[in-house]
Amino acid sequence: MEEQELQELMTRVQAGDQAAFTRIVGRYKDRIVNFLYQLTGDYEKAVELSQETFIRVYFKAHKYRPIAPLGSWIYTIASNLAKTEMRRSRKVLTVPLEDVKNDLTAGTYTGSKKDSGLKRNLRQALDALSPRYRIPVILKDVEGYSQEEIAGIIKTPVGTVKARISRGRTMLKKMLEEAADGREAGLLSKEYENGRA
Amino acid sequence: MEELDLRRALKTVQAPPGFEQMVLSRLREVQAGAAAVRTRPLGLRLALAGGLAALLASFVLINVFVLNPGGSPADLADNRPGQGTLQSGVVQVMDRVDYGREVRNISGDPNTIYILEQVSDNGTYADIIY
Repeated sequence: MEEQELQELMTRVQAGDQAAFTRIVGRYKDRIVNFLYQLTGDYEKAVELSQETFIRVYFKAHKYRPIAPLGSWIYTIASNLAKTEMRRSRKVLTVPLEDVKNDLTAGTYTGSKKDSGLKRNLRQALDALSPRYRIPVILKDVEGYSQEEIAGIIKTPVGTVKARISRGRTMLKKMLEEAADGREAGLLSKEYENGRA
Repeated sequence: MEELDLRRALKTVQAPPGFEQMVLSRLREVQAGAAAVRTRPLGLRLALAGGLAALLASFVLINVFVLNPGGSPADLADNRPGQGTLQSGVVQVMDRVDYGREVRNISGDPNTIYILEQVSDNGTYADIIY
């Protein structure tokens, strides 16, 4: 679906057209659910937040201006919701450090990329990463947005986005390497969480 | 991340079947909730508005007549004789005198002649005839 067509659909949504809204939901549902799943690590929560995202798209449609791609605007709404949810649930702080340690050392970083252990490690490492690093890293490395687009989505200067992506990647990599080495990953994840890697 | 491709390494998920219908039904719920708020009984809304207006009016009246009947100290200072009135440029004299009582009270004193003059902003002394 071309951007021009999406803009036309959005114009119809602004007029209250639910059929056009349904088409936009169908276009973005998988991407948004996956994006929110990567951020929260909880599928049910991701689906719930995705629904809330599209509800906001419908009710805030009149505020949308076609100066940026529609997808970026929807991602902005989703990121803000995820950020609020992560702050509210403080998931990072409620993960017992012993569990983090055990899960991280269960798999190995050097194994195959299809290894479920690696996926589990990565999931744990992402969960231990502060949202300020997690969101830009996922937008860049999973969603494939450019740094300029990410800056527009999370309303942050490009320089800050670059720094956060770089720092987030370094933290992830180090965490996974330390998990592979069997070191005190639980303690380290606490440090990453506070951005003191 | 050169060694690790996050897109491949992370488990990917998709929206559940019927996701659009879930969103639409939730949208209708939200719209119905908003409509219920809009169509709240007129009497209730009027009663609320009246109650608030009465509260505001009583607040103003209490402030003016009970808590602060003479105005603030600054207001009183401004109204001292010969100061506050000069600013407005208008002199208003409201001084009631009971001349009969004055005469009775001084009956024991030597006779005093009261000359009553008409005081006017417009007139001159030449207009007064003794």
